[in-house]
Amino acid sequence: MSYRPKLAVIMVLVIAVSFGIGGGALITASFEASLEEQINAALDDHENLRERIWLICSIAGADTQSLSQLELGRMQGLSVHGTDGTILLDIVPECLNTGLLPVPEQNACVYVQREDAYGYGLLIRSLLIWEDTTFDILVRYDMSSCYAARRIQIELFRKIYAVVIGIGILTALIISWSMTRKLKRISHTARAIQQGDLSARSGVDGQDEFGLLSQDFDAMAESLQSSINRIQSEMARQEAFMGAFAHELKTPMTAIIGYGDLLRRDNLRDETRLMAAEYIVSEGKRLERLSHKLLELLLLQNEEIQMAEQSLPDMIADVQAMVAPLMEERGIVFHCRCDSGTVCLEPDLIRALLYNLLDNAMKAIDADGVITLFCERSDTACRFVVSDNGRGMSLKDLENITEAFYRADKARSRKQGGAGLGLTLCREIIRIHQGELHFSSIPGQGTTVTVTIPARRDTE
Amino acid sequence: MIRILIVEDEVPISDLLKITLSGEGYSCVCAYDGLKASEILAKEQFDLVLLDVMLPGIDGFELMEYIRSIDTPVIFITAKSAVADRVRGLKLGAEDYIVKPFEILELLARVEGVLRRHGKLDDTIPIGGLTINAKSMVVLRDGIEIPLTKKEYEILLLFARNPGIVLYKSQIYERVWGDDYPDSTRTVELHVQRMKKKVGWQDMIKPVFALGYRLEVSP
Repeated sequence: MSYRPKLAVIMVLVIAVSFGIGGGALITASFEASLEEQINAALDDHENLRERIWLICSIAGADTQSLSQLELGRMQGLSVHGTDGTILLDIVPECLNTGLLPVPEQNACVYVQREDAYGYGLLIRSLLIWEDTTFDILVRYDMSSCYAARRIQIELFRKIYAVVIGIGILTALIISWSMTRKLKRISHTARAIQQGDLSARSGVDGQDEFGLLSQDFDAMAESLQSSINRIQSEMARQEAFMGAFAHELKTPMTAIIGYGDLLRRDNLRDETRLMAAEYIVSEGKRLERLSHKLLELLLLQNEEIQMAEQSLPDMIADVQAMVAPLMEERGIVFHCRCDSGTVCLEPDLIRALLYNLLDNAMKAIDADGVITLFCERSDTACRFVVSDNGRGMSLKDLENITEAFYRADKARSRKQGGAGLGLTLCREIIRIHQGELHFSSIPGQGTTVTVTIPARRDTE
Repeated sequence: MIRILIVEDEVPISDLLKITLSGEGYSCVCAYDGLKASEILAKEQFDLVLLDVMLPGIDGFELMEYIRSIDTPVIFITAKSAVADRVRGLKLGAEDYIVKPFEILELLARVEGVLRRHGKLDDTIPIGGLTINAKSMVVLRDGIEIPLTKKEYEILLLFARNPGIVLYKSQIYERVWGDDYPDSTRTVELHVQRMKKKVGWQDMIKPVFALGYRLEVSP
């Protein structure tokens, strides 16, 4: 049974029982009070009757005739007997029944209530001694009004009871509905999320428990959705990477298999044979480079990186020593400037990063090249700026260059022996250092790459 | 002479296609991107276009729409073995497709198949005293038909199309049976022996080491 009807039934039951018990007790108490009052009134009246009989007997003598001037008044029936059995007075005797009452003590009376064809009655019996005569007096008073009042009360109570229960049911339903409505909404939302609508929210207002539950629930759904989105975009990236990777593999594979196949047909000219062999070697080397870069990337993603305080000028001097001969060979002017100080980083990775960026800069230059490397240290961050006056890139290329295997100029990249993974590697290194990578470029005028990494690391 | 346009941006593969097809006596022109290809197509007439799907500039599918308008058969080359790509290419009106990496025999067979379908090649191949009709699959010697099984006919055709070239047993098996070559099987030997005998090429098909055979015909 669900919570809603359960709650309603319990509420209705509580109302019914408490109101029933209360009403019943009230009616009973009022009935008993009025009954007692009537009995007392009847006993008083009976006393009056006895006095009147005594008075009549004193004045007119104790005989039937004198007693016949007695009137019934509030009584239903009246009989006066002598103890010897003589009937002195008998008015409506059929409603009286002596047998129900014992013989009372002198000057006392006994009474009993009785219900018969004459309705509810009170029988009172007493003995009256006048001179030497003893009268046995039996009277009956009608108590019906008392019972009738109770019946009317019960009747009224029933009606009120029905109305109250009706209102109770209605109230219980409304309350339970309004309470469970919020729960239902949360449950609907949960189901919607289960069925794949990750953006579903319950959005129940209020500071009560349901409102708080809803807010907690929504917060949970929010974080769930964002993690799932993150995972999905990560998966999409992985998939794109795998697709690009497969393509990267297919091209050298096709060349190697094709030229190998060509070589084993033995009708080739020497010239062609040499060319085929040459292609097999160069494409094989391309595969080797690709696997090498891929391995580097893999290591970056798996290894625990140890970072340490490192002198900035020392590191830059290393990089400069590495690239200066290459620059000279190509007739490129290389400017380098570096602030003093230390930065917390992984020196090998940052060296590789800078080498990659400088290598890209060199590749972008056709003639009269100038490349600068600035290294700036502020209080909170360290900034590496590599700029060249090479070919530059379009905006569309800038958006994609860190994607694996993306090349702004495919044919040239091949010639220069790029695996298409250099900037992907850089991006990973910067991610590990919690830094940022920024490109700005003007086609035909050059490119500037800015890497910012935090200077200090919180030791966790 | 049959003229073929090769549209492929990877120079090694473009060269491979050119060397292979030129060796078979086709005249080849290479284009390294889609734009260049469309310029060449606007100026010159070709019998066949070999088209890579992943191209800089205009991509292969876009180019195919253009080529369809000038009614030149297309075989597209795709690195993606994705079925969706192949279906898309064929729907756009390509005659056939080749998935990278490919073998030379496969490339040649597909090129020949398409050219033959379009009537650009002679249906009959006269070779070694035989006349092979590739359309009706009938082999004649001096006007008399030689009965061959389907496999024998296919092996014969393979030799006839690649005279003077070593055909490895594995290649023959893969081309004719369309399956990966099992490690130990004499199927190829048995079929070649029987075919040789039936068409009278006992002296012309020579074994090359233990690896394969070569058809030697005087020009």
